[in-house]
This record gives sequence, C-alpha cells and structure tokens, in this order.
Amino acid sequence: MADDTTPNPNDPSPTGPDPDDMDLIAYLDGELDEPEARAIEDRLTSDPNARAEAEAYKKTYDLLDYLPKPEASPDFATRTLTRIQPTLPANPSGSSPIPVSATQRPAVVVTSAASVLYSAPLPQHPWWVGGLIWAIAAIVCLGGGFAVHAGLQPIFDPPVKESDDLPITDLRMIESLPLYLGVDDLDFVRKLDDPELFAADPALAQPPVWKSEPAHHENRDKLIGVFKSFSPARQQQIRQLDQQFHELPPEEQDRLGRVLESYAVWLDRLHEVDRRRILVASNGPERLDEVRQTKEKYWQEGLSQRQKDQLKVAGDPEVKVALIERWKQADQLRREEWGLARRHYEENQAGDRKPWPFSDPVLTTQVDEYVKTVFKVDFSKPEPKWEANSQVRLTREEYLELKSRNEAAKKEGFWFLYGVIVYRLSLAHPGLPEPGGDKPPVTDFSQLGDLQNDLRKKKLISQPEKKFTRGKWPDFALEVTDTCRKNNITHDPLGPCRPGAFTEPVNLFLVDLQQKKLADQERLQLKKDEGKWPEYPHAMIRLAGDHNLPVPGVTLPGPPWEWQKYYSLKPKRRK
Amino acid sequence: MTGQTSTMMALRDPDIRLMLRVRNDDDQAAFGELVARFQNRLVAVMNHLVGSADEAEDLAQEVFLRVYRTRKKYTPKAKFATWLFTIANNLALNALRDKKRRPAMPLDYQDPASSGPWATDQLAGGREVPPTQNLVQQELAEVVRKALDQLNDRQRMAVVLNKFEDMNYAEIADVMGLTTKAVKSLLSRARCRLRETLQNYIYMDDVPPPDSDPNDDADAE
Repeated sequence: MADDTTPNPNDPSPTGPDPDDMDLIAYLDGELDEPEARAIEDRLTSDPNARAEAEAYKKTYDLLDYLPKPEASPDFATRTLTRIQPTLPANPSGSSPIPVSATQRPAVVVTSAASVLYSAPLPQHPWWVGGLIWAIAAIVCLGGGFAVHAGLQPIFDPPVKESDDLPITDLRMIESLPLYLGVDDLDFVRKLDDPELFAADPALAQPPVWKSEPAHHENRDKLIGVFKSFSPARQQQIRQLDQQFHELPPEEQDRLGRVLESYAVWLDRLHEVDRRRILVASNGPERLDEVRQTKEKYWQEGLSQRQKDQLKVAGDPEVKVALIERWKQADQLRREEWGLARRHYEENQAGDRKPWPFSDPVLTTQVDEYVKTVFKVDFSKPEPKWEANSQVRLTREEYLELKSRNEAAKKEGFWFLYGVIVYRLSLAHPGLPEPGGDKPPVTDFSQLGDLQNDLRKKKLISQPEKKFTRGKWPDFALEVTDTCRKNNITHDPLGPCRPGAFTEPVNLFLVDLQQKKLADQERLQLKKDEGKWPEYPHAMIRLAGDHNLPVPGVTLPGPPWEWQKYYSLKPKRRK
Repeated sequence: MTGQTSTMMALRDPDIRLMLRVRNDDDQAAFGELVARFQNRLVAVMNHLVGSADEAEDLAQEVFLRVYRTRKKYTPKAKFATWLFTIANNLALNALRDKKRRPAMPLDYQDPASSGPWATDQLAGGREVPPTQNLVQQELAEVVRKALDQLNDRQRMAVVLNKFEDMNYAEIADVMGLTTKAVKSLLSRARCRLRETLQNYIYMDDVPPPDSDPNDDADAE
C-alpha cells in the first residue's frame, strides 16, 4: 500500500484527476460556489452521461456505509481518565473529582432553559447512560407529556440507598426504566411494532441487550431518583406498563422488548428539537403521529441528492408520492436481503462452507450453464456489444454486476452475493424452453413470414422498431404474441408447445413428469394447454415447480424450493 | 476567524466550553465529558484508517491523552472537533508510517456486550446503517475495506473525514494541514479510485436514471 510521498503506481491518473470530474465531485459535496455549481448543473441537465457519472460517484461513496463502525469499549472512558490521573496537581482548585469508586455519588445538574444535562462519566455504563435518560427525564419534568402534571419539581441530587424502600417488582421496573421513558402504555408499544417503525426482523438470533445488562447499582439509584420525580399518575402508568409487559408470553416479550430498545435508541439519536416534540405530545396517538412524521422526515433527509432533486422537480404531489413509494420499496428490498442473509448467516459461517448450491460442484457448473443458456451471457468471452438486437437478455448494468460478483465469488469466496443476484435475475428474466430439432428460436421479424406483413399492415412494427425486444428469446416472441392478441391477429404459435417439440433434455423431462410425477388432474390441465404458446411451456414449468423439480436448461438447477429458501426475500413470518 | 474572542467561540460550541474548563481549571469531569462525546467517533475513524478495532482504540486513547497533556496550549479556533481531528490525523499518519501496515483484517466479530445494542443500526430514518452481523454485509464490507485500502494514507484520511465526520473541504484542509485546493484534488482522486473498484457493487434502485426509455438497452458506450 502506497505511502503518500512516493507516486502510487496504481494511481490511474498520475498526472492528476480529470478536472471535469473534480468539479463534479466537489459539486456533489456542496463545495462549489454559485457560478461553478450552475455550470455543473447545466452539464448534468443536458448530458445523461454526466448524470450517470454523478450517480456512480454518489453510489460508490455510499457503499462506504457498509464498513463496520466499532464503538469504543464500555470502559474506554474510565481507562483514559485513569491514565491522566498522575498528571493532576494535588489539590486542584475548582475541579470536580471523578467518581471512579462506586461509593461516590455523581452530581446531576439541570441547566435552566435547555434540557442538556451534564453528568460525569460513570464506569460501566449501559448504552443509555450517555444522553437519553437524563435529557428525557428533564423534558418530562419540565412539563412534558405522559400524564404529567404541570409545575413538577425538577430533579435534584437523587438520594442514595433508596433501593431498600422499593418492592422487588419495582426494582425490575427501575432497571427497564430507560426503555419506558418515551412510552405511554403497552398499546403504544404494540403500535410501534410495525415494519415501518421499529419492528425488528424475527430471524434475529440475538436476545435483546436490555436483558443482558442489569443496571449498575449507581445507575439504578439515579434511575430511582428520576422515577420518583415523576407524577404519581405517570409512576402508575409506568408500573402498569412494566407489569403488563412482563406478563406477556416470552416470544411476544422478546419481540416487543426489541421494539422498545430500538425506539429508545432512536429517540436518543434524534436532534434535540425532534426528540422534545415527541416527548411533549400529550397522549399516545399524538405521540405516535409525531414519531411517524419524524421518521418520515429523517428518511427524506437521508435520500440521495439526486432523489431530493427529483422530488423537488416533480411538481405534482401524486408523482412525489409515487417516487417515494418506489424508493421505499427499494429500501425494503435491501432490508429484506440483509434479513435473508442473517437468517442463513450461522449456517454459512460454520467452517468455510459455501452456501447452497455452490457447495455442490455439479450444481455450480450447472448454474454457469444456466447463465449461458438463459441469460445468454458467457464470461469467457469479451463483453457483448450492446446493440438493439443483441441476444443477451440482461441490461448492461445487470451484466456488469453479475460478472463482478461471479469473479468475487470465485476469487474471494463471496458466493452468497453471487447466488442472490443469479436468483434475482432469474426472476427478472425467466427462461422458456427453445424449440428442438434444428429450428432456431424466433427472435426476429424475418422469421415471422406472413405475420410480418400482417403486423406491418396494422402499422404495429413501423417506428420505432426497437420497441420490440429483437434478438432475445423468449422476449421477442412473447412481445409479438402479446401484440397480436391485443390486435386480434391470429397466427401460429411462436414457440414449442407440444410434447416432443422441445430440445431432447426437455422432451425427456416432460415425459418423466407426465408419466411419473403428475397427478391425473394435473396431466389434464397440462394437456388442455397443448398447442398454445406460451401457455403450454408456462404450465409445464409451473407444474414442475409444484413438484420441486427444475426444468433442464430452462429454470435454475437444483430444487426450486431450495433457491426460494436461501435466496428469496419474502420469508413467511410466523404470527 | 479574526476578531472572534474565546468567549464568543465558547458560546457557540459546547465542546469548546468544555475544553476551556479543562485548560483553565484542569477540570477532569469536563474532560471526561469530551471523551464520552467523541470516543465512538474517534474509534470509528481510526478503525477506518488502520483497519483494526484494537489498534483503533489505542490510537483513539492516545489522541485524548495528547489533548489532555497539551491542554494548556489550547486556543479555540473554529470547532473543537477540527482541532481534535487534527491531532488524530497526525497520530494516525505517524502510526501508519511507523508500523508495517498489516493487510486488511477479517472483520471483528461484533460482541454485543462491547457496543450498543446491535439493533440500533436499524434506526433513525430510512437510510439505515446495515446491521453488523450478516453474510451479505460481511462480504460487501470486505469488498469496501479492500477498496479503501487501495488508497494512500492521505487519500483515505480525507475520505474518512469527509464521509464519516461530514467535514467540508476547508475543515479537512485545517485538519490535514493542506490547502482547500489540495483537498479537492486529493478527494477527487480518491473517489475516482473508489468508484472504479466499487462500481459493480452499486445496488440497483428500482428507479431508472432520468430520461431513460425503459426499452433502451443500457447506454451504448
């Protein structure tokens, strides 16, 4: 890896970066002044290549978010503070001692207007000690929601050793108090258990952290002090919530516990203003409203610059809504893929096992064959020319992504990512069996004979010709068939639709399917579609799928249910 | 920043207020507060630079110690964070130069007891940080890690400050002791490299680029 004084031999532009790109990147970072920014904007408006470049810069940069962000270990602060101790003068004037010993009482101070509380760092703090609880408690005390009466006293130094006064159940409640601060009642928690809000993936293997971290007794005393500063009504509300929560069946308790945790940490991370607005809402439904709106606001703020611009440009509110809907679906797709990977993480982590089907060399070869046959992509050959009548069924983007993931799988073992994209593309570009014998599949107008004239007469294939998916099987034939049906043009079927009309492996497969696998009714179903294209092959594929069988050279190799199990994004959620 | 007195700056930036207490009164509690506020950010940044969580913690701690040891010489200029990261920058670059850089480490298992609840990554708005434990993220993270390692030290520092600390070019220039122009060039080169390496891992949106005819094949080159 290069150090920064010698020229980096891997640097693609040793003489300097392309000045156009420099400005574009600076523009994306918001660093250009008005006239320069406008020049770039003009360029972006008029040049789709420039837009694609900008997009690529933005997106590759966003990938950095995949880097893990380890946090400091829990005793980091203590260790650091311990190391500066010897440098202190003996009796500093005006310095506050650090409570490194457990018997010392930390001072909690409420500043006048703002809810910013300052506290000395404590040893062994659970996640919420940093900011959340004190900020929330202050807001609540100064007249927040939660059935609080106005004019409550702010918190002063909480007295110690109160724990002896409280019954055991209260102690349990106290330990969970940070989770309850932003919550009205159990009903509120249930409403938060929404995939759009704080519902977590049911496949999580981990127990929630709130269970595994009992509060240090110093923190507990602070918590007790906070609790006692609440109004009796609010105290009762919290007690009831805690009681009902712990009476839930364990599965629901775990799930809602995670919801509580997610919600609490989310509150902690909000801007002060947004957090306050949520906390001072006067009842559950209003609070929920605020939560939803805030989530929406942060989501919109998290959009890429391009997306924000698109929203701005779309004047019509319906268009805006449609855009947002699409992006949310894309987000959902991403989330589901992570959820999917999590579900199989443990399985795949044991040893260096490759994920199915790549654990089986035969199947792996068959996947390569599938990619060649159905997508018409051959990585051993150079990149295809992306002309209008190319037989490759993928877009260039899809091709590049597939190729690079294929390489990453072979060179670095990233098989799961490869499997995911193969599966995804198999759904986007499903195959249909090609005709047998020496008949070439129908992929161009010249093969249509008289039909071509009929279409021309009805002006269905004049301009632009590229509307048709020329060169691609079965896309072209499907599109012609569809067009004909819409326009009441009769024609011969454009693909094989009878037993024996397919390639040999498929013919044999079909015989086996009909004779040995299908039930009588299914056989009848299939026969009904004989002679119709694409109904017949579709029916064959569907019935094969019902019986968990792959169709050779047409569907992904191996049992279809296995592909669904490992790579499909819509697991069944147990209720 | 001419004409700005310490008081004015302190009024704006609570971190400066705290640091002034450390300077003027040797206020350890104020120092502790600063540690608490910045520890995670520093550890994360160091981790991006050196690739090892343990080393990152050691380096982060060194930064804080240096802050404390040189407290009497602290004069507030601009933001406290800038000053803090200037120290971090110097320490990190020195460390990288002194030691033989290890190859990218396999990602450390994220022990739930040592960090916040891992569910926290799924929060706060739609653009969520990926959860720390899953295969897709592990694989992608390794890919990204390797891409980042291909940058030289200064490029990587600039990228990390820009991306994760949200610093603008002027701030990065302050931290790294460069001109804004040099930062612009550095970042541009870095992002060019990143783009090349990571281009094929961009996730496809459902939203096509503007003005594209959905029947078009992808841009002819």
